Amino acid sequence: MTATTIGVLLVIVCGIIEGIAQVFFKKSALAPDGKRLWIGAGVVLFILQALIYTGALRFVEVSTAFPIGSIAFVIVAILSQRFLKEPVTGTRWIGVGLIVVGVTLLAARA
Amino acid sequence: MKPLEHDRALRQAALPLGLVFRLALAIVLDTAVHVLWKLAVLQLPDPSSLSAAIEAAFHQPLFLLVAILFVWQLVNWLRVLESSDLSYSQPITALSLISVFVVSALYLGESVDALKILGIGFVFAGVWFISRTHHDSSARSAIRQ
Repeated sequence: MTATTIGVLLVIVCGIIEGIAQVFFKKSALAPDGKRLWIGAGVVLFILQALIYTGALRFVEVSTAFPIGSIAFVIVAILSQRFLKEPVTGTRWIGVGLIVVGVTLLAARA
Repeated sequence: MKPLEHDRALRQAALPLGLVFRLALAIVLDTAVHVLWKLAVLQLPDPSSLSAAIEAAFHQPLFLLVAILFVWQLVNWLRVLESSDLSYSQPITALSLISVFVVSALYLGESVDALKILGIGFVFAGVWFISRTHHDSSARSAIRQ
């Protein structure tokens, strides 16, 4: 496995963590109580993501790593529909699909 | 109102000015954080271990600046989420894909090629599709919160 592949994989892990953290933050905005718990959990995930992303940036360009991190949108779409009951329409799924294609192209190029 | 008209009316509904400002700020902060982060990583020596890397990062002033901007970004983002759907607002901030690409090419000398532009183009198109769908980010939403 090349250093670049490791970097790309680390960025994808960061995207997944960020997607989960974003849902926690939205939960904090919606929750009548327990806001601090959701924010705390989100911050912990953000710190973990920051450490992993710092490692990833040693191996890949930021202009490649940053868009690959958009995989977080896919995670957010899935989780916000499932856990926040937000509407995720067919058009939005097309958008998610385009993001996946873009991320795949960037990962293959890296 | 027919569903199509209802969707159009929702799209045309003006976003609160405060939300527009916070979304714009989120894009600027996002760009600054990522470009400075890469700069900071480039200045780190090759670490012998994870603890050595973390220690070196604490002695790098750029990481402190990144951390400050990161916290500002987080606070701003929480304000955004108080008045809009997560699955609507997050894609808007993806405009920073373009700003990071341009700034990193200009100031970090990062590569620019057709496949990278195509990949970013697909991601951006995806974001555009998502932002054209129904959302709940009007003043009504802020009141509901």
